[in-house]
Amino acid sequence: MPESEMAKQADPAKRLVEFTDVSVAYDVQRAAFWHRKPPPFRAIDGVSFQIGRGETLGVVGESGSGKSTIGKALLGRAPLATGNISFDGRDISKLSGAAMRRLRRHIQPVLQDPYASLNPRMRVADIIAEPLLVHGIARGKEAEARVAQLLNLVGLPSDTASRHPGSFSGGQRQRIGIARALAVEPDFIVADEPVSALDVSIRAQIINLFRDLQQELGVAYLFIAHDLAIVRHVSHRIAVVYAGRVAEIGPRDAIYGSPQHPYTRALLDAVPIPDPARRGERRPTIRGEFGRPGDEDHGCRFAPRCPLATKICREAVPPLAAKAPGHLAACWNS
Amino acid sequence: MSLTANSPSASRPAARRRKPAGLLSELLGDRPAVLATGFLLLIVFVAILVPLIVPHDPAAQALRARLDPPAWLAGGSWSHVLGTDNLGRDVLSRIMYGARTSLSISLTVCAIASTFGIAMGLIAAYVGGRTDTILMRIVDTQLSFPDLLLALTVLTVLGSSPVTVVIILSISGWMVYARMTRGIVVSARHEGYVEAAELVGCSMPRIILRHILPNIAAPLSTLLILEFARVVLAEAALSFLGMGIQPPATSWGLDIALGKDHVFGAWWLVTFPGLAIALTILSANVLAAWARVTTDPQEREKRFARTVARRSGSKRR
Repeated sequence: MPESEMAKQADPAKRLVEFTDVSVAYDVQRAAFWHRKPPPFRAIDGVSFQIGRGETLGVVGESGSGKSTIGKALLGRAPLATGNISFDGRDISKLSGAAMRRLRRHIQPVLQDPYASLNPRMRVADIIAEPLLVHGIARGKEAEARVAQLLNLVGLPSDTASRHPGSFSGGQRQRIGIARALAVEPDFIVADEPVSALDVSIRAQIINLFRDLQQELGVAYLFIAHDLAIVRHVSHRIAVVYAGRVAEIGPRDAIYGSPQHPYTRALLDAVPIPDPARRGERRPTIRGEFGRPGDEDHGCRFAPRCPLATKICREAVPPLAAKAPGHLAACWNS
Repeated sequence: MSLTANSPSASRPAARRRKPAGLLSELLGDRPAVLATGFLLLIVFVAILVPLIVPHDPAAQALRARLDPPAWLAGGSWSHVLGTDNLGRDVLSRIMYGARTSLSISLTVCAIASTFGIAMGLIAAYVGGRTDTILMRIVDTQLSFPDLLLALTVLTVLGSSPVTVVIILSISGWMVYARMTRGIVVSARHEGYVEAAELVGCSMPRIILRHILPNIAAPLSTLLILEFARVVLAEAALSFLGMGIQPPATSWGLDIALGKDHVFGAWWLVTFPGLAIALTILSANVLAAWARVTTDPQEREKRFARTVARRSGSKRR
């Protein structure tokens, strides 16, 4: 790994999160004693990146690419096989129990499904106040006041507090989820596809909310999504993940303006053009099946579907190399 | 048509009685459940107050008044409303004391078995892995064993006392709680809000108490009522077979056992304790059915729709 190139991505002084060669492996099957244990499944493999304070890294990839696993690893819910994760200069990859719970004061989640992630039996006020209680920040009247303030911050009326989540729409519920994440004033929020379950018409509102909150509070995001159009508006930098590896990472405008990896180009081409006059225009698409990460351990994982693939692509893993300052891609041919 | 077949009188009082809030009003709208609850409350009331309200000492023998029939039959007297047994003891008083025995044994058994069972279920679900497997295999093994036979064997060997009866019935009753708790907790752990609670930083006890146990409360109440009925029956069966409650004490099962020799001459000796057992179990089952419907939002909606349909059907006429 070209360490010196990595360092350029974020100013070390402002660096908040750092992944160094992180792999997550899941056991496919429990070992029975008359069978050999099958090799573990690598959901992500040798992932490295940094995120600075107050910065948003958008992570894009298709289903099964490991983008959610990156979020899980950061939240301490994925078994690390190699590498380490540091947060605010501290190695957090081996934390557990009480130390992990203390860390959660600084890293909070916004989950994908706002219909499942709020306890239907609790009042909204109790849902939002729960992080305050468990981290011993506020209780009683003080917590109530904080809840009112948070509801205001995420744009919900104050009478929301006394109601149950069942009486709210998806977008409103996601706002409640965001208010809960913000309650402890975290430095970092992992947003795992926070708008995927929402109606297209309200996605923009929630994305704008994320952006406004960042400007107001200086919180940093890992923003996971499965399409480039969504992360474009919130991200400062974008990482494109394919089959458990980072295919390309760089500043937003560089990713959209001059994509280096053929997979990124394919993703950009897949974004529909909202212009009926250009309807008939055919654009190149990638074909074939998405290979499972861990199936083959030599060569580029995108090679079987890549229009540019040559011999070397099938023989050696392309390193994540700088194509421009701060813009890295793992491709032999770009 | 089912709409018109229902009597309109059933719905009208229900329509007027909508003031009492929440559960109580729902209970009042369901006649069988009201009767069942009423009967169970009566039994509880009697069991608690029995020394104050009992007409006779249940053990007092009066050999002159042997095998007196119930009051409303020829030869009966109002001093022994339900008649007397072969030793002249008052049947009603014995049933009232029997209620105390049955209730205290059943409730103790339910409390012990459910506490232990829920604890085991939580451990199995939370620790998982080998602990889970071993605990659940123990549950399977015990469930495959006929529990009454086990109880009889143990009681024959150890000798019978109320404490042994409680212990043996608790040992044969905890498995259902463990299995149900484990099932619900395992599925609740994958709920988004439980994951969210973990990620937010809640401790495990808090997650179990605040986020998981509320899911168990509803099905558990149904199970508890059903198990209560089962234990009442089991205690009666053990006492009937002579391995449960022993003579100077009273129990419904014991009364039936003593009365069976006189069943042709004095039917009231077996009939009234038998009715007490049957009605208690029936009431418990009716109440359990109501609790099941009430705690299941879908079933509840159906019931609500039926009530509305019945009400509008009666209005049309």
